[in-house]
Amino acid sequence: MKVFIAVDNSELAEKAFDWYYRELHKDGNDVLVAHSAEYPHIGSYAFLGGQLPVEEIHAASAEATRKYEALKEKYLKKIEDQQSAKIFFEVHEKPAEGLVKMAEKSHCDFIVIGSRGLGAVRRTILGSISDYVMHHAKVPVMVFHK
Amino acid sequence: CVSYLLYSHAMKVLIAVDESDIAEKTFEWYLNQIHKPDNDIVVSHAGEPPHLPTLKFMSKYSIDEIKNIMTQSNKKLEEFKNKYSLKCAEKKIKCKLVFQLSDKSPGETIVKIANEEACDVIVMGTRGLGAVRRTILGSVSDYVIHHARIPVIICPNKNCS
Repeated sequence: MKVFIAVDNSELAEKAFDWYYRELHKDGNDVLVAHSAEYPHIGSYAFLGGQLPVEEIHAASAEATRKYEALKEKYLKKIEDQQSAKIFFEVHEKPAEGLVKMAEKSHCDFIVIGSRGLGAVRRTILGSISDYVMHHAKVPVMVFHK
Repeated sequence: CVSYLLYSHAMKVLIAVDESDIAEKTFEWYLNQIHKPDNDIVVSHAGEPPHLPTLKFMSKYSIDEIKNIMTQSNKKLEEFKNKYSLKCAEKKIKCKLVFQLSDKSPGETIVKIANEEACDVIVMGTRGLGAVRRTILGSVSDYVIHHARIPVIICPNKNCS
């Protein structure tokens, strides 16, 4: 079975990843550790002066790249000992749609995703990205809590 | 790096079913793709009790009629339970069957059973026999995802091969 594990920088994503390997993984499963990164945001206030906020753009871009690379490194290390695990990182304008596209592109059979990521709205039990993925995925999806 | 094999242990799985095809496909998918020999399975059904004509406009209700409806309902439940009991026996899988009818919503009952049976994960279809086809995600699975404290695996209508 081809397994698509969606991760971000959150602790829950890592717990979901670990839980998958501890409880569900079988020899013969191919695993893709996937991340759909967003384009860096630059607050629109920065454009109010009428001039292009070059420094802000550079800073935001560098920061986003740094985080992206760090996340990749982290999971590359985690899958070091796994024979059939690969990293699958892409950049998409909308992360949720990106994940679904990536999942379809990969022809995976099963998606693992944390119920929430780094989103600020803690009131909701289910984050907007996992909610989207669950409604749009064409294969079984495991939503991980805890 | 850590070897995950060392930490592997048996899991208790709750598979929630109704009379729909999706439930059957979900059950099969779980057994083919996810199941490990040490896993304990609890197959559960959270049905709603039949509607009883306790009050009929301008006429008395018939006790026989009510008895009949309840007997039929229990009979259907037993048959449904046997269906899954047979499936498990065929695959030589030991499983516990918790089939009940409750006034609570099916979602609440499923979460309750998962707690009572101390399950580690819930497996269910996105939708069952519900009439509201507008929604992609049925109301029961929607409830369970939002209220379960354990991971929930949701299998969609089509690709559960």
